[in-house]
Parts: sequence; C-alpha cells; structure tokens
Amino acid sequence: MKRRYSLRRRLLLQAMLLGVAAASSAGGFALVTGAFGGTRRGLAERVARCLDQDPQVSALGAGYVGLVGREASVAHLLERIGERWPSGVPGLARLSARSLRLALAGIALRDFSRADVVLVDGWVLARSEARVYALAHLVRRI
Amino acid sequence: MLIDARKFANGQRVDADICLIGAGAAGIALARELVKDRERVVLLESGGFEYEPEIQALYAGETTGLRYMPLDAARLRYFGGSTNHFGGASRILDPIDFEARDWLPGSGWPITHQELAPFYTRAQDVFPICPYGFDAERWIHGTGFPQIGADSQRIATKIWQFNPVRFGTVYRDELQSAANVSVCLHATVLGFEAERSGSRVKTLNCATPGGPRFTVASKIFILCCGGIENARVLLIAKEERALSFDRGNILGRYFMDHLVINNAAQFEPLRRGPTPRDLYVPSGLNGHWFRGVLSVREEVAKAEQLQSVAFFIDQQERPTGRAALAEIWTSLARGSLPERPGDAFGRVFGFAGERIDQAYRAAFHSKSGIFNELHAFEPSSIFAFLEQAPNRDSRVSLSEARDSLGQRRVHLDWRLSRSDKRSLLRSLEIVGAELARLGVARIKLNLSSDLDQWPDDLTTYCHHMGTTRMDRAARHGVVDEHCRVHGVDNLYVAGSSVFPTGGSAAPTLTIVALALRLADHLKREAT
Repeated sequence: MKRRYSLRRRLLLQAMLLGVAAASSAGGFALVTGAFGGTRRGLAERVARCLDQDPQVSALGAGYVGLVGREASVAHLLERIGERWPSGVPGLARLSARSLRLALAGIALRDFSRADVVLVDGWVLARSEARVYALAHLVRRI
Repeated sequence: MLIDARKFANGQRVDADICLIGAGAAGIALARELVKDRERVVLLESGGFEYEPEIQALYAGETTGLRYMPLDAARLRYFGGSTNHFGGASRILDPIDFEARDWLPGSGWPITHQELAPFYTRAQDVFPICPYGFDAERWIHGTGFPQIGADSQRIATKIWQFNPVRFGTVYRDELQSAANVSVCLHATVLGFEAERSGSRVKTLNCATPGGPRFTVASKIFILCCGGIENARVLLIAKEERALSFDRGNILGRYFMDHLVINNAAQFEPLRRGPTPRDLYVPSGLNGHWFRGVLSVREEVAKAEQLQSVAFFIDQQERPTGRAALAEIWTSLARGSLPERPGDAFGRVFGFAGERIDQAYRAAFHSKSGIFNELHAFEPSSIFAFLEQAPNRDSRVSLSEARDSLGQRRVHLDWRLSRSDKRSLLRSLEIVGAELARLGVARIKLNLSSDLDQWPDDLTTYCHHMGTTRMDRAARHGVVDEHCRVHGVDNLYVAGSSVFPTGGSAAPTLTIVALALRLADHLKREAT
C-alpha cells in the first residue's frame, strides 16, 4: 500500500516533468498563445485544472502553504508564479490550456536549473511547482 | 629481517636510523620507500601477523557525544593495521579540498593538490588501481557508459575505485627480506625519552603485554599508528612533559570522520534508470572495480558555501532467473510480450546475460547486444558520504581507565557541526533539482531539516582524521607541512591524523601519497 502511494505521487510529479520535455522539444518558451482572456480568478482555476484531481496535489500544496504561511492566498501565489513568466500573469492568462501546462512546466524547469527549490514533505520541488500545487489546493478548497 | 619483541631480554635496546611506529598503510608505505636506502629502518608493530585479542584490547576506549563504533572494533592492531578489514575504496582528494574555504573554519592544507599530485601517481604503485585513475572523462570514453548530466553546470560525476589491498599480506615478504629493514612484532610504544631541551626524542620506551620492556634508539621517529592512536601516544607524551610541543593546545582536537547516511533520500526514477553497464553501479573493468558517484560541482559548492559530499545511487536488484521467467510467462499469458523484451529475457540469464551481451558485441563488432535493454538493477535510494567540518570540540583525549600495559586509554568525544547538516541538505536539494531538470528522477529526502538532528543510523567508515592536524604555524597545527611535530626536531607523524580536512574521498590513497612525500623529505634531509 505504501509503495502504491509512492508510485502515484511519482506519476503525478512525472506528469509535470513530461510536460517540460514536451515544451523543450516544441521550442521552449515560444509557445502558441490562445485567444483566452479571463480574470485572474479564472486563471487560477485553469492552473488548478492543469493538475490531476489527486489528493497528493492537495497534500503537497497544503504542505507548501504550511511552510510559507505568507503565501497562503490565491492572488499572492498567482503573482509569484506569473513573475517568472516573461509576460507575467496577463501573458499566462492568454495561453491555451495545453500551452499553460507547458508554460508552468517550463517555469518549474527554470527553477530547477537555478536550484531554486523547496522541500515539501521531503520532496525536492521547484519553487514554482510547489506554488502551483499550493494554488490548486487553495482553489479547490474555496 | 623479522624480530619478535616477546623474545627480547628485559631492558634490551634496539638501534636504528629511522624508527617507524605502526605497520599500517602509512608505516608500510614508508618502509617500502626506505628499503633501498642505507639507513637502518625498524618497523614496530604492536601486534603480530594475525589478530590477537589481548593486543586488540589495547585499542578499547570510551566514547561520548554522538554514538560511535566501539574503538576496539573501529580499527585493527596487527601487521597491516586497518587495511586488514578495509573495503578498498580509493579516491584522491579534489583541489578544493586543499584550499582554505573562508566559510569553513580550520580548512586549508599547507600544501596544494598540485604538490601532492606526483605522490598520488606513485601511491598507485603501492595501492594498485586502474590506470584510468579518477578522471571521469577517461572512464566515460573508455567504457562507453552513460553519464548523468554530462552537460550539467551544477552536478558532476566522480569515480571511486575499489581494491582491498591487505598491506600486511602483500608487502610482508618484501619487508622481511629487505636487508636494511627490521620488522619488529609485538612492540607497543609506551613513551618517549627526550633530550633535556625537550626538542628531540632520544629513545622510545616499548613493551608487550606480559613480555619484556625495551627501548629503541633512533635518529628519526615516525608515528604511523592511525588517526586516534597517533593522538593518544602524543597525549601521553605531552602528559609526561618530556617533549615540548603542542603550543596551540590542539593535539587530539578536530577529530573528524566521513559521515555515511544510508538512505538519505528516496530516488524515484522518471525514466529507465542505470543498467548494470552504467557508471553508478559497482562494475568491473579488466579486474578493476569502480563506481561513479554524483557530487556538487566545485564552483557551485563555493558559491553555496558547502562542504564536500558524494552521493551513491543505491540499486535494488530486479527479478532474475526463474522470477524473471515468471514475469515473462505472466505477460505471455495475457497475450502480450513484456514491455521491454530484451530486458525481460536478459534478466532470465541474470548476470550471465550481461556477459553474453559483451561477448556478442565483441564477436560481431556490434554496438548493440542481444539484451540491450538488460536492466537487472533499479535505482532506489541515495546514500551520502559527507565531509565533516573541523570542529575544535570534537576530540580525542585520555581516559582515566588504563590498559594492560598501564597506559591511559583513549576517550573520543565525537561532535558534529550545523554546517555538516546544512551542507548535506543543500547538496541533496541541488542534486535533486538537477536530476529533476534532466528528467532522470525525483528525490524525496528522508532527513529532518533540523540542523542538530541526525538519523539514528548515521554511521562512518572509521576514517579517523584531524587529531594531529597539519599547519605551517605551531599555534594552529601539531605538525608542519612536512609532517614534523612542531617543536620536536626528529619526530614526524604519518597518516590521516595530519589531515586538516577530509573532503569526500576515502583516505587511504592520500595517506600513502603523504607517506611517500615524507619519505622523499627524509631522504632530502639526509643528504
């Protein structure tokens, strides 16, 4: 049972990185932008939808919020994630669902390359990756 | 020549030009270097050629601080010393290990990596290893094994070699037959007789349990008793006040070991992991065993102010033989081939599958084999091998208890620093981030973030270092850059007790290299 739990978590984390690989092979950050407008609230929900409805997402997200209490708001987390994308939150908001997922993975990849990481429940997570999990956790809780 | 001190008459005197005290890696390496010279060398060994409980018991002592292995189990007291139980791990220290790192108080050797490099080369004759040495590039090109993060700016692969050379067994005949060397068994040092000035040793007082007491007169004395015992012998000498040394009151302090943290992190592969042919699994090449380890690059370690650490990727064995056959049968029963047929069928043959593959490639000059996907191991966890920061409070001192010769036993108070844990955690983060970036694995640490808390299974490989540390200045070191005891003209120390820092490399090769360097120094001094 413990092993299964571990594997599920691995697959969740793997999914995000597979997105990175796809983004890299598709030309990195030069992504096609969609015609999606929308509010920040809408973006937060779309970011949450990029992740599976896995309880481990919430667990890691809750773990990050517990670790960095001052970041425990959807608006704050969105700003922190957006500031690591060249065109910021508005730029992220314009991306299609697939591009958004790749963009988030790309941001995480850049965090990893700078070793800007945070330990949540022992996992070495990219800072932005942890923020995405936290955002998903808060959005689903609301 | 071989002599046994148990047969000496009480009060007998042995004369020599150079007296080596201790026949472990350092003492034997020194003796071999002096074989061809005119000087009369006596190599004293407390034990005999085999393990003797009564002699081994002289090593018993007390420990406080962090839990440490019993001191009479952590080392061996007979001809060959602790090489009689060592695993043969060898690696040279890196250039950064010799540098003074401003974030690491007490770091900085009085010699450079470049100065020691020729002796490292010569040491490989005493402690034979593969001619590829430790240059990872040569191994990677020579073997064709894949490397993790070849283009990484943050992590590097280092090579460890393994050759458990039992110095006592390998070099016994050579030393016994040397015309100018006397191997003297059952000779335990008790203390020094010094000239009135306190700056020169005249004779050495020796004994053996239940046997005679005798003396050794020599021009030069070299302590080669190991990282704890060198300090003990000198502490006893200091207490007797015959010799004038250790002005900085640092003798016995700065005791260090390499910290071994098993299962420091969980390794969750994101793609097919290393195979038996890969760099990170213990592998053999023309009779030489080696293994790649991951580490943080020097420039990153400097920027992040980290101590040195090596990460070994532990591997779990996957089913082989009948169990692998059962897996294939299950797949076939479901109407499909196994996911990676080459891997599955190769594992049926176990390790022979690898051999068949090698033979096939050699016979047909083929780059690919029959079982190309053979994957008998799966990465499962990371174990860490960490440099301990020099810590003044981590020390060897004398206990009130006495051994069978009436000598005060040793007391070890082993203490770590917060920077040790910080370096471990941050290095794991850096390696974990890089493995994730490369799509190799995700890492989950099994360690508390509390810098004062260590896992219960924290252990060491009994690499005792630092207790007679080397420094040009007498107030900072027990010995100078030539391993001569500050303040005593004819007393030297050989072995890892002179290491100011230990890096993340097994110490034996450095012990031998320093011994050869000392031998050259003595020859220069003699002319």
